[in-house]
Amino acid sequence: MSDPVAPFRCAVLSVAKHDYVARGVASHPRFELVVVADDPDVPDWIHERNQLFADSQGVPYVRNVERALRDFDLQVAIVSPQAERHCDLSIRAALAGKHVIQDKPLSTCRAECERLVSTIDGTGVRFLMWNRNGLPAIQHAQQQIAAGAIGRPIAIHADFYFAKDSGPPRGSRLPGYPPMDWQTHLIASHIDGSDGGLGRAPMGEMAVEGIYPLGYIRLLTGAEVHRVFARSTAHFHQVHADNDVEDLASVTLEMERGIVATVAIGRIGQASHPSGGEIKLRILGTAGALVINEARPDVGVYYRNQPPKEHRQRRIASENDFLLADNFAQAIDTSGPTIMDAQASQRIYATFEAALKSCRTGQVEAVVL
Amino acid sequence: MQIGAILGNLTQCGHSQLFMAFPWNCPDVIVTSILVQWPCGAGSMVRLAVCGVDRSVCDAVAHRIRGATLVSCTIDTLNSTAGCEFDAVAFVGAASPSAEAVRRSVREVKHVLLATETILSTADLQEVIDAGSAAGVRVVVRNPDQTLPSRRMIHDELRGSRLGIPGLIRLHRWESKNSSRNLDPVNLPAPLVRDLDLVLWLANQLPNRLYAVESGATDNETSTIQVHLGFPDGSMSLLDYADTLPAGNDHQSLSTICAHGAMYADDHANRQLLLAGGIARAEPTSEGLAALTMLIQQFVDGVPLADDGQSGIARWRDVRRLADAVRRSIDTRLSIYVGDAQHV
Repeated sequence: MSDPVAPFRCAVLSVAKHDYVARGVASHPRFELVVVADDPDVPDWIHERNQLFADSQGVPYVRNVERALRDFDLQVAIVSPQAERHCDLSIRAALAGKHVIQDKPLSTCRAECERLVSTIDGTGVRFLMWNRNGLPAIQHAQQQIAAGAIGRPIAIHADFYFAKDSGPPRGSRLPGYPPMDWQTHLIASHIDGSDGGLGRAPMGEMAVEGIYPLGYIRLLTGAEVHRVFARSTAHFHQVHADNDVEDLASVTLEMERGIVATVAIGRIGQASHPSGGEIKLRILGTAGALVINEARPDVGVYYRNQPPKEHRQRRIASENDFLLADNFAQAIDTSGPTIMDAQASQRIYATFEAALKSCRTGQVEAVVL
Repeated sequence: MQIGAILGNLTQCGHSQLFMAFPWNCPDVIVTSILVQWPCGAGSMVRLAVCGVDRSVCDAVAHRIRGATLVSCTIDTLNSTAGCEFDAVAFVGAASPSAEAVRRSVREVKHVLLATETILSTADLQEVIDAGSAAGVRVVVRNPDQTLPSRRMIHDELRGSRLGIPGLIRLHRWESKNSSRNLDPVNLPAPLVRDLDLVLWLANQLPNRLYAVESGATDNETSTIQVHLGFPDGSMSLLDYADTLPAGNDHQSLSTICAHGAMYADDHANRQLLLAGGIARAEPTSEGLAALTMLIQQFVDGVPLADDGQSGIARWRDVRRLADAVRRSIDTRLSIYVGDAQHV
């Protein structure tokens, strides 16, 4: 019988966007949620979400981040506010000596990314960007590559389509009506979980969801991106068109060791897939190749009067939450690296920053750190 | 009506012996229109020589074709026959006819279908088509992938209204290592050039910008090539080609993301399990003979196609121009502006 280890006490610093990160961390026995906290001057809708979540977990909600960080004997902060507050809350937690788990995206601003990386380096706390690298299919791909099944990877291609709607379709705004407000729309979208880009600043799909496919590519190749070429468009949703951000993009990546990668990413509408979206990886090696469906394993569930939005193929046996939390616990225990640390997150930010620049210029752009 | 396979391996038996077995007459070929006036008149069987597929394949297709009798032959045997045994010649599959071989067929007043894996150079195509026009025979240049059932379905849906405007066309084609690469005249793998054509056919427009990058494998004979196209309306396409796989099955996938829906033709999803000890194998379920059958039937029927004659050469000229830009992009590592919007 192993010795009992006291769980890490965690503060949840806002669930303005989602609470799935906090719930995911709490699913691991080494983590315990003890308080929810946020700044006092955030809007009421955020206080309401925070309070609801705190109540669901049976923990207090404190409207003062610094007090919560000081008074609750914490080791970990779980950060999931609006996108533009991500780095600020993470930095404040790190400066208070807390290890940080942060929701994506890293930030909406390069300077904030740099400040975060500098702070994490300076304080020595562990940092984990929440991701999907622990999904069974991704783990399988990693094991196959590590076992040499396809030789050395030379190319990798990620399809990352979320079959979700985002308000009215493009072209539906009547003449004379004002453009849709990004944050207002995202707040209203919380009910169906399609508010991944919550914040004041409009964000396209590359910035909001791009960390997932790029996280896969990093995990499976171990290589950095040097140059990108990208195209993007607002093809599906009025809110994206009104706010001049993309809901569909394609990116070519030139990487270390001559590896080439491509990413196709989009929020392509609920009608485009019966089970949430086609998410696939194709990995070409010197001695073979892998074609991976990220949704496997799954179970098909079909029945009369099934709601249109309900997934027909339901994912099963995912240990993503556990594996990420476990990785983080090990990183704290050993002062070792996490599966996606601040530097890796910053590189992903820089990659999509270069991709967005490429979309504007039409040229191949270097990834600048 | 007689429909059947013409049996006989032209490479193994004398031509006279073979043709004696045919119920064909030597016709006086009078063609009054490029778009199909078959010489024998309504109700007659078209006599079609098929170059580029195994005899067994030709035999199987022959059973499915109306209005024609088919014979499998090679380019060598085709060239050595007298001029009147066939009404038409279909160069398909792995056939790689020289420009002269095609010209000879045209000179002999044979209609020609060119649907090979490698297409002639633009100049040769132009010459052949001009010769066909002068001789009054039909010359059709087709990308054989266009008659694959999966590609036809996607194309037909795109031309309908249900799925809306395409935003992204994504295509993967991975092939096994070959002893020698089948190169197009612009020094790109021929299948990649066909895929460029396929994307233009599906998108129904020409790109205005492209970027391409090539990454080598363990030798200089194989590589993976990525082609990234941007279209004037903001839509885009990614083409992925590789000939680095070990010997065995190939892999193809085509996904089309549209404004109101999407289509996924992915042979990953079209595989069947074989459990025979050890790790299970995923066996492909192929699209069978449907593509070749339709290719030949449309030719026999004289279905007017966008690929006929001058429009066909115009299309291939666009593809070749694009392929040339792909090569330049690979060589310079720059994105290439390839012109203003034009409909294919």
